[in-house]
Amino acid sequence: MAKCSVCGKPAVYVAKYEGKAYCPEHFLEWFDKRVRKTIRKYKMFGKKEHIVVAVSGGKDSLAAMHYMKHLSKRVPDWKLEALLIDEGIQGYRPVTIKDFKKWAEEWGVPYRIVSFKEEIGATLDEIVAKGHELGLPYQPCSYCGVFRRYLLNKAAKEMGATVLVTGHNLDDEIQTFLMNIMRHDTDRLARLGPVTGISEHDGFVRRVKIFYDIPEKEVVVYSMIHGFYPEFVECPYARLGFRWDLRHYINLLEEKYPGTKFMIQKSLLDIVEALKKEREGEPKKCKICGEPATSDVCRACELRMLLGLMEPPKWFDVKSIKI
Amino acid sequence: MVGEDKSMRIRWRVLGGDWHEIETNVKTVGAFMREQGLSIEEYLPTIGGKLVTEDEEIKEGIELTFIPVVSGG
Repeated sequence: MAKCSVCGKPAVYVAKYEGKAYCPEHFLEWFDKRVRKTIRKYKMFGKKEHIVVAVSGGKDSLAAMHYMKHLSKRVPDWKLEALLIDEGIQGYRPVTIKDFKKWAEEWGVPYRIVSFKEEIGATLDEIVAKGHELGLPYQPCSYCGVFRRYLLNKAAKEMGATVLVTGHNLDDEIQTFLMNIMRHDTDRLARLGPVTGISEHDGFVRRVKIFYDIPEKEVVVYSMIHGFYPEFVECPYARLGFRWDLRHYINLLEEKYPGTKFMIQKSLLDIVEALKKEREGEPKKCKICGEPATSDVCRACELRMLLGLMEPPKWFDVKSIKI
Repeated sequence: MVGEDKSMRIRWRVLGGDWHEIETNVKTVGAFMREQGLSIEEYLPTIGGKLVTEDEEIKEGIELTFIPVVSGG
């Protein structure tokens, strides 16, 4: 049986990429040390913040809410709230909302729930059906990603947030990085990193990824040791996305060559830094909804017009939307 | 006979899935996972609700639950 590299007690986790094993107590100590290092390194928070944690009820975001609740106890001028986006995915989201509410109430975190149905005009299930009917070439995750990011920013702003915390971990980030490389999407590549958002844009709430340097597996270990690993449910659309296959291949490589994920992340940070310098420009606002955009009309408004969920303004030609 | 692998009966499942009862002669949890095609990067092994490491010994009658790392959400 593996022994903890710190105290010699039975280990529950072996970090092959650094050749060390940890018992529950020293795993949590090691986890906390690395998250605090990430927060300091990327200057994620100031002394006075209104922090909103984006939560889905899954293990990553619950872990982020749990971690931030404990960290915020040490900082008197931090206000902490949570925000959940209900996409409207039958059989999946209601289960995670139940978990989310249970833990938010137990940990004393005030929260707000915003739904696709109310804000976008349709649930994700309805959007997927409509997109299929109209012959649009998008996977469910494409609609979900665009509308979720849009609503997170909009609702966080309405809540008065100065910073939005997400539960994205090392695995999420390198998957997105490789997906964008494989799709030759350099615009999206340039928007990656531990702190995102155009800081000088008054319409954008800065986003921080506190688990940026933590592998997904270790977030699960954290939630299991603390006893809040949620009920296991899988999004019915998850396996349809490109990400599902990609993460499996990355995991195979990590198993065979421990440390691969961290090496990909290092490359990502170098590339993103170079791209950001090259693409610095005036931040824009969507001419329709006023939310931050990379062109005249934001992607959320484009998709709503394509889906028939929004009337295009007279000056806008729907045919100009790049499919 | 010296060196003969002793077969053991165990139960296992992936969290949220059905239990399987099988005979195995592998000696560790890690070897069992490889035998079942479960990547250690994608599943965390537990016995009786407690996390264990890959080198945990397989014993007669144990119940292994694998926690999926990928939640798919």
